[in-house]
Amino acid sequence: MKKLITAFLLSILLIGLSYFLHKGFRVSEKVRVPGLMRLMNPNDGLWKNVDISFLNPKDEITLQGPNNPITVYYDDRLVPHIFASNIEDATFAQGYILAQHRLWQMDFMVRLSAGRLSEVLGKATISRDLMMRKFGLEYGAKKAIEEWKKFPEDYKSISYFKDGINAYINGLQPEDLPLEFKLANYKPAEWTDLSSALISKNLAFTLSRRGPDVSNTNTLLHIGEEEYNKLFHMNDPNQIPVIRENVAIESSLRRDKPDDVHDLSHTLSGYTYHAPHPGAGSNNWAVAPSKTSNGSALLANDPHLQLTLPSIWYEMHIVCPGINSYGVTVPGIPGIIIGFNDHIAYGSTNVGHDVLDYYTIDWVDKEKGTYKVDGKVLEAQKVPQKIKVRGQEDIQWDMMITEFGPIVWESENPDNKDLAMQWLANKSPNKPEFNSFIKALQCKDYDCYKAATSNFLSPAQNFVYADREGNIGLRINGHLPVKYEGEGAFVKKGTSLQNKWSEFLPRESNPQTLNPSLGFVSSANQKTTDESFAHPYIGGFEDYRGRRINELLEEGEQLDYKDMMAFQLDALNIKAREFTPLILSNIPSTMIDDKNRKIVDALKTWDFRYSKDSEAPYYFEKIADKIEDAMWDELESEDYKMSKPDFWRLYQLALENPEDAYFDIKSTPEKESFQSLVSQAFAEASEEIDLSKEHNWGEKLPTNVMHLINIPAYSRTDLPTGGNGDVLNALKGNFGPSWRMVVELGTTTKAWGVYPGGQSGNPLSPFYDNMVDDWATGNYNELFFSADESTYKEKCKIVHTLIPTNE
Amino acid sequence: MNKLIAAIVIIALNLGLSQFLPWWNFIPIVFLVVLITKLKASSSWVVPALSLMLLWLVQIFLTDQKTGFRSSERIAAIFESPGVVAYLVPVIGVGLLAALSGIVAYLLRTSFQKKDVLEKSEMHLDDYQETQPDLKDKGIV
Repeated sequence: MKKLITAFLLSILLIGLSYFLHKGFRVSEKVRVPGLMRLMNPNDGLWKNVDISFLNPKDEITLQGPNNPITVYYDDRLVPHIFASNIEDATFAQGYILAQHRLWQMDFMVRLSAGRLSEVLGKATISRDLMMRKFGLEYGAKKAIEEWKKFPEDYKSISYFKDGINAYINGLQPEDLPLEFKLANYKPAEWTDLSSALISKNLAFTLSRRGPDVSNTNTLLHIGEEEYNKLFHMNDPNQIPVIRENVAIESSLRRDKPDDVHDLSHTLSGYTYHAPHPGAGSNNWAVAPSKTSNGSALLANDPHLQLTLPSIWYEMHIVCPGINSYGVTVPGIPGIIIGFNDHIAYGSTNVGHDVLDYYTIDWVDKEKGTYKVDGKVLEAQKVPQKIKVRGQEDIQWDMMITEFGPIVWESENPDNKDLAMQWLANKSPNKPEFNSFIKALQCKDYDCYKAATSNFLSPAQNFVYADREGNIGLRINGHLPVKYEGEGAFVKKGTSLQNKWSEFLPRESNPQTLNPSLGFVSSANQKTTDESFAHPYIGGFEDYRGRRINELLEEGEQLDYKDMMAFQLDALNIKAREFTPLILSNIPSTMIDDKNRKIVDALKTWDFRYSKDSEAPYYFEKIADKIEDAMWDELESEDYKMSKPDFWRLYQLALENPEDAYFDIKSTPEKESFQSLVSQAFAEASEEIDLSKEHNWGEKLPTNVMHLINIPAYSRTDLPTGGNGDVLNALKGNFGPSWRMVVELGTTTKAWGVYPGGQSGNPLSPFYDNMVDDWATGNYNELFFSADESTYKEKCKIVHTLIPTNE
Repeated sequence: MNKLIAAIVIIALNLGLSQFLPWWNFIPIVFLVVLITKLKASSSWVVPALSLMLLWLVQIFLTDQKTGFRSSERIAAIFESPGVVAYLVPVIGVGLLAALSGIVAYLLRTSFQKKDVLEKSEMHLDDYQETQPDLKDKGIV
């Protein structure tokens, strides 16, 4: 009996221990120990994720889907070179390969975009899910798919891609699941059309959700129209527009400002503005043969996006009859988004026009089901939402959709109205826009490229182009709403349908240029055009990078690909070049002593480059930040948020009127001037900085490439890179050049590229982060590109053949 | 001999069934093997624990060695630990659970057997010799 009782107790211990070692347990609110034995066992745990693919280089994979065998050669950076018999098979292979190397990332991005992360990650991601649901990405993606289906011929391509991904998922054994699935203990969802649509919507969310309408409205009400216009209502006059010689066909479409359109009844408090990261942006340019050393056109592109591991980009090369194309795509999207082929090269930067407006809604009933528009009572569409939360109860609410868009802010204050959001990304496309980047692979000239990408909807991009014939071009591509002057700056009244924009410029009227007399085209997220453009727009535009690249390209002669690389890595800051002399001339000599002379000397001898070994950038940023903080104290309120003017406005005021009232600090009895602010900022900076130590910029603002769910062990942090958001090498914390590409279009196309990551999404693979160090030091890889399969047969050790089951 | 057979059976079954079953398949394997092979008290937990610890250690080592021992460091890094932790946790874990499973099986088996039968059945020559060193020394057995 005694033995039986002992056996029983030990069984309980055994079962309990096994359970906890499988499922894990929570130590505290924030710390959870995962199932250690489930993860660390050698049979189906993380040890099965150890990448030994290079030890089994020849693999034949039989699967359903392709029509003919597809051969995939992996080079020494694990870049796949796909040789297929037709574009359908190539698209299938693209899906399969992306899933093979980036499945967890793709699944994660879909869940993130749809607001379904909490389903697998628990309560930590509820607020993120709520935000994404309110932005309506899934709602917009579903509407897009309904429209896509109306074009069955074009729609096929996304089906091939989906089939490729699912062929991989269906063949997965539990032990082969990517590491992160095992860590969080869940499985990948089946890939659907909605999945790709959501990934595309997520790009729009990253790049086109700018909408400071609420804080602008508060600022206008706080300081009045005259002061507002003084501070905000213009772009930096020094900006050089993207399109300097516009060849677009002018549209007759115009929009008059409706009467009484803005809702300026009261300030709005409590609203959370999910602003895009200030580091998001890009550079691109193309140089005509007349300015290059060997008579070949050159093209360069570096999109500045979040730097993550796995990387946002995946490099691939696709060869099939009529196609020999290389470049990068976002895992989850078919085709090549930024790349080149034998004939052309192309890339993109974000346009940044304001395509997101807010409207106050006049609810008729207390239940907020009906609202008044143009004198009529309309019923809001109710879309039930359920957020499943792992380990706790589901969260449910009804998403209300008005004629203006979904309700994104429900006010708790009865004096405030709810806000609906009109956002271009949620608009249904009326053309098959999703396969722009598959069609682009096949182009040999500008007309083809224009036609291939003409249905691209959102987020609007500056599409740069160059070809072997020496043509260069740049086109604003994407939907541009027809707006009245200044539309979108303030919250509008949702009382009339006339208040919302509903027409778009015909694509041939989007600003564009082809072979301009300057001999180059460029864009760096600055304003699109000068004032002569007939269609008003506002947006968030970059002030310095565009000027710098224009400066370099205007001065440059006999340029070659090495110059393009040097330009991409250029760290000269025009903001610092203009503002530093003002700082130095306004520091009273009496303030400079032996201790802080180091700061002054560093600034005086500075070449205005944000080099990783330079100390001056740190001193400059410290002082400039302090001046800016003190400057706009008039725009601080405890009750509501206000917008702050761009830095160029401060600089301009300092030049024009250093005694301007905005330089005065309201909380002091004295009347401050620009000089007072500089003195104060310099004194504070001297006090705070330990001048006995070195303050190299690379160490003060290191670059971090974080794992997507911030697993420190699988992130690369504290990379001493130099750079800054205002310079061409636009590194800003965990944002920056996510892919650097330079293409030379000579008799043969040559290209170089690098991104901060690796081809594999598997943290245990040597190809997970193998390009990070090269990227951080500014090295490029020559992109291995040929349509001759025998080249790859000789060079590539890892060869996978996808064989159709019916073979 | 019984111990060696038990160890081989446990290792073979664990290797084979791990292709289809989750990691904890060794728990019922050990339980059944100990139940059937009539190992004595100490062997019922030592044999399964050591055989599985050895098996897992070899499996992990071979995998790790193929990547220049980089993998253990990458796996252990999740827990901010040195690479050796990626060996210690599974090897100690499998040993502990196998030992528990073996003891439970032994206790259950012996609970339902009469004492004399038990002693008889367990009194194999090897065991007898081990427990009678003085007789062995004297050349009696």
